[in-house]
Amino acid sequence: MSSPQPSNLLLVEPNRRVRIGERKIVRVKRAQDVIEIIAWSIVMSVLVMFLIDGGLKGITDVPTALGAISRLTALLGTALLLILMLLIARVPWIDKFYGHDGATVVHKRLGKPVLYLIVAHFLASLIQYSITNGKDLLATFWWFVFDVQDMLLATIGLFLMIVVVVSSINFARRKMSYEAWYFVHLVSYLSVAVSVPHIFTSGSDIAGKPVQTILWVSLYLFVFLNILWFRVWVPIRKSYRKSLVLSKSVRESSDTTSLYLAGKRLLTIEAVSGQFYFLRFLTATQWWRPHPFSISAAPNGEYLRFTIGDRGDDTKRMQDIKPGTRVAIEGPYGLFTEERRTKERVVLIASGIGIPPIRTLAESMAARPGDITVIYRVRDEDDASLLAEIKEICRRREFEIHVIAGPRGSKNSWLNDDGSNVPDVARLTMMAPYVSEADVYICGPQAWTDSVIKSVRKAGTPSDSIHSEEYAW
Amino acid sequence: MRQITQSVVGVLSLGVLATSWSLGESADTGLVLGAPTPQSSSSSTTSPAPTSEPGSTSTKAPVPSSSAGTAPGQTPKPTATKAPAVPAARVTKMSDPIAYIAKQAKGTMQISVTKIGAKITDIAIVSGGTEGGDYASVPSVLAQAAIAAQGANFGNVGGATHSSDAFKKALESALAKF
Repeated sequence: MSSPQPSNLLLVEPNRRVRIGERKIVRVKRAQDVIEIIAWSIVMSVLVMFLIDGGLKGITDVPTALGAISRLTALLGTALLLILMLLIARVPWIDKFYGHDGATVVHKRLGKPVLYLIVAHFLASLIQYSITNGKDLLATFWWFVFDVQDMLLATIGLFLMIVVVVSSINFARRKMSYEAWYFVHLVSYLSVAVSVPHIFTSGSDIAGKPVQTILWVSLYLFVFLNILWFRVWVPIRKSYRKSLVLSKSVRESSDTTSLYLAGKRLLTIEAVSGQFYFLRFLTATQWWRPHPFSISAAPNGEYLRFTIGDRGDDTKRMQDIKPGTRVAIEGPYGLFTEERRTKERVVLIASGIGIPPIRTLAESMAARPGDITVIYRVRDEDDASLLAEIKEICRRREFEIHVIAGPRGSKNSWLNDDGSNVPDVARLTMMAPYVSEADVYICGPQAWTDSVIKSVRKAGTPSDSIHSEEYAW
Repeated sequence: MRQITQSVVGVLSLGVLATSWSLGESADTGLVLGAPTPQSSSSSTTSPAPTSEPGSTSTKAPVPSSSAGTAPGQTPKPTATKAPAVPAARVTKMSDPIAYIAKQAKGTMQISVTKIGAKITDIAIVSGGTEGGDYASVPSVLAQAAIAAQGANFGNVGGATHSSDAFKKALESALAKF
């Protein structure tokens, strides 16, 4: 099978109009402020309750000081832990303003501080009780674990939490496979769950204090219900309703393949150009592994299409999945969309397998002829994914397109070697003279994207107008 | 967050923290070991019932049993002495044994409560308690606090949450029997 001929390429009607202007950015920033203030007030309210309760008043000697440290670290650690969990619950009102990638980045950043706080809480209580009971640390530890109510579970939870954070660090350093990391990460829910009982039975700031108990129970419930609703229930319901199956896979280039999914009521699918879904192929070995893929055709009611690159891992196996296989989806996610556009003119820049969202944006963005310039960086023009399609789109809509092929000029260049030694910024402004007055959408490998962003900034585009998104689990 | 929001939130937060700290300085931080709460002025205050107390209220300080699960030999016998012809009777009731987790072992907290009329005058620990350093005084601190509060509405002893909770449960169970 091969790609459809350019002349009969099915394209959707572009958006008729788009709201542009600075006010859009201001509105997003205001919403972000509100969300951040809410998060901050959660942290503040636990601190305030600790202080009003006389948390610092009782400090008279080393054990009471340790007790205060233990309480404080536990309160802060737990508050941050709940925020951290909410950030990956794929809650629409967070993702809408930060993007799935933005939320994930903050989630990752909170991991280590939370662990440090919880470990500090554990050590402080251990030393405190060791001093007041007059026993050594080990004896106190055994006493904690086996004699104090719910503390065995809490200790297991702490241990699991350490395993989760360490595995995430290893995964980030690519010392660990995605599969192993994924399983370990599921354990983190368990680690949180088993540490809950000791909070309510032994927590000095909670047990027997109705206001605090109500606050914490509602915080936990809120996070739990959000996770249950948006990460479990909504995807299952959506996958069931759309009942997607792989209808065909089409090779686009030597290392990319388009997957066409058919299903029910595809016209009502929420995705807009530039967004992505997590896909799970419901086969015996693949069903538990979600993979983020951008749609590579604007939703057209006939099929949902993803174009995936062979990155040598699961994505290779995914290209061999048989037609007829059922597919579960989670999403759509992402802010790499026209929603973020604030200017009349647009520059779309893609590299390699970063082309799908750029292609869909070119297909559906509201634009007059000439409003959009597409720059597509490929290794080899004869083996470039979706090249014929993007060319056809640009031909029909009268957009300028620059295909940049061949090895790169210098180590840090994001363009090819054209023998001229002209810096990237100059070449960019030659291709898109209005770049400083445009929204720039960039999609490609992270290092390449960073280098493009540098050039675009140098060309004078404000960072609010530069849009890029990384795939993040 | 935008700069302006950040500054506003920062200043507000500092204010809120300072206020709650100063509020906390006058907070009831529960019971403190080594500094027993002042003994309630027993029966001398306005007693709801006219009391002609026979044998007086002998509010002897409750003896903390040395550890959980001591021989029940030193158990003070709950004496249900009836005051003659006066409604304000001196009645002592024994609580249910409350299982709890004490230091180093699971324990059973059982107390006896003596009331004259509606007033709690004496609490003795039948079994259960704490040991080691300051903790040995936990039961007596709790008993005094209960008499002062005339019920279970008082703060826990810091670091002895489980014992405190067990004591309160025992107290409530005993009071329910009156």
